[in-house]
Amino acid sequence: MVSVQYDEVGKKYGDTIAIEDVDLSVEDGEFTILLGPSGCGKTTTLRCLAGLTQPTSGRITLDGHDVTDIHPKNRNIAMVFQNFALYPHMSVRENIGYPLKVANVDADERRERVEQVAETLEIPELLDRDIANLSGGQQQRVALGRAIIRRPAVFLMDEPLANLDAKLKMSMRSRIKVLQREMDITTLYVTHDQEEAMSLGDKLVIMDKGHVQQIGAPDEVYHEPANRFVAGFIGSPSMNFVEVISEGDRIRAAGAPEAFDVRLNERVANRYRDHEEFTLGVRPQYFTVHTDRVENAVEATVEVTEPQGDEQIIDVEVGPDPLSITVVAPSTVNADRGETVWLTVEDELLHGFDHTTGDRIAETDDVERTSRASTSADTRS
Amino acid sequence: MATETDQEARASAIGQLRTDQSTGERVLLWVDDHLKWLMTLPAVLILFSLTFYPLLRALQISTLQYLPTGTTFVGIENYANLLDSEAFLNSLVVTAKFVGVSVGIEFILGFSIALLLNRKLKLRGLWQTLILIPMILSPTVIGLIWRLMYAPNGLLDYIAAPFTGGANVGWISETGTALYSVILTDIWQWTPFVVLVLFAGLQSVPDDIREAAIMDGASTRQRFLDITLPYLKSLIVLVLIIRLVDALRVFAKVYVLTRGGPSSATNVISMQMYRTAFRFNNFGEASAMAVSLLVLVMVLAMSFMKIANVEFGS
Repeated sequence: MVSVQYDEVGKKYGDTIAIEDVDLSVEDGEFTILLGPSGCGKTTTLRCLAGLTQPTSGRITLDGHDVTDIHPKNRNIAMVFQNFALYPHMSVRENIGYPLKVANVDADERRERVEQVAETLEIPELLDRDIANLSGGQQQRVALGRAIIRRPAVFLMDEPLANLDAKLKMSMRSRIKVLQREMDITTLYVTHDQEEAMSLGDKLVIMDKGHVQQIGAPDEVYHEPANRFVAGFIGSPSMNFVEVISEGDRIRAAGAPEAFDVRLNERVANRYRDHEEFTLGVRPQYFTVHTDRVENAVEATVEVTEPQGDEQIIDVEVGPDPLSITVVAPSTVNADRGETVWLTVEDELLHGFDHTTGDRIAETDDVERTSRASTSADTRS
Repeated sequence: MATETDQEARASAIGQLRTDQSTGERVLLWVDDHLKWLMTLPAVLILFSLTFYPLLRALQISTLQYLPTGTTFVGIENYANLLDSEAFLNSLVVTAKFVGVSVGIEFILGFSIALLLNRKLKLRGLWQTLILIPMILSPTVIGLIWRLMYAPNGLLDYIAAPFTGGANVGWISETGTALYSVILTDIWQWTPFVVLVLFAGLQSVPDDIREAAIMDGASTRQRFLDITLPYLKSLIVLVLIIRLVDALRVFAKVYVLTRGGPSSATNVISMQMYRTAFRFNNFGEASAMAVSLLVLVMVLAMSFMKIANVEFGS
């Protein structure tokens, strides 16, 4: 088992920067997720470790050994591709056993290990089938089998679930997690799906435009986003951002100062004393929707509601030059299109982001808040 | 809800469902449905008259004997005569040599060049274009160009001078070299075709499958044998069939370069056919040769496809 270290790794194609200054360390046995929108450089980062892409700067080490110039086939790294990349002219058995075949493992041992892996993945009955006759989920398992049979030092997955339907995705997700825990293999996993990332990873690496935006545990990136990008990318529905002006312990929306005027408690208000203008970030879950007028609330008009079963997503508009806000409310809240509702903010859970840099304005009690926020989120669900 | 609008909407939907069709409309709809057949009919007719009619006519002629006084029906005698004809049997041997050597070298050379092009080569586009040039020339033009090069004191003699000491080589005028000179010309013309098809095949191997094999630890040789070749298999068979059939029919090149000579060193089947028909006016026997060649080509092509199918099935 090994640890992985990226040191200022960069990759340029001509003048185009794919990734730049990527510093990242993955502990032995850790499940690390590279997460970001398409084109953010997460796949390039992964391929640099695989050796399929040669970085233009920096170095990558495995357990302290520099592998930057080592041929991919000598790195003992296995990879699962988005389209599975199974060999179409080979049977399932031959596909899974191929890494052993090229390593000259003798036929008997090969057969034994292929059957073992098939057992683990619950596909022993598929072994003699052709690849073309497999469903997406089955192909996915064969691809996993081919990757784990060699007991690689590092396991790479490039959006392995992207081509599966929603239900299959969920079951494969937990299977991958169990498999990774059991085999205890250092894993890097690329996805653009934040829900998948949150549920799988020990550590999330959030990337945008070729740069690492934040590295942290799922809870950490959710509750203490480093900047506006991370805050907006993580969480569904996305965080609401409102440009606000702070006046003492009150904040007012820059676009609708009359309609959006909220008094914060003193502790929270103190954080923003030095920031006359900043971007307020509030997750849709951290608004409370009232159907009657309440104290210190924002009056809003319901634009559209999307029932989700237990809860509903409500898009509301605030003010005359309407400011759109998305909130999540229990399905028991009765709000129809055109009706007026009142929103209160859980001020302990809101964030402020610097107007120009987008960085989150320091919250001195970060750690404490994280634990409180997660309990609060628990009681909600 | 507004029930009135509902009713209106339903009424208009029913209004669009029409059960009455005029005759004219019916004809138009029939034409519309069968348009694909009507559009292809002219081409099919032309193909039929240019392919099937000559074929049937050749079959008929092959059963006739042409005499100054007219023609007589001789049944399969023309075919029987072929088996006794030394010239015909010799032309079979010459053709076999021509096909075997030229297609063999074209394939090996073409595959090698395709593999080379498939690497990250500088100016790849330029090389690709240059390589394709011989393929776009007509065989007659190619024959004429090469005849100039093969001529005494021509380009090839000049190139070979250091080895021959300045003496002219009878490239196409000596029995020992003539066939190989024709083969060289054929290789020059058709290797690009092999390159083109196999290069396209190499390009079609998906990147992620190639990369998966690298990650699985396969060496360059293992990747070629286990991944690339299986992908190319059907194209290889295709290219061999096309080249085989084409080489069996070679005519223009031989006609321009050597007319089948010297003696009968380059006398391929089609050349022998031409001589029999237009030199000796023996149309019956020439047609019998043509029909035999057709059968030979068909048998070869079909057995090749059979082999390919068996390989696909496994």
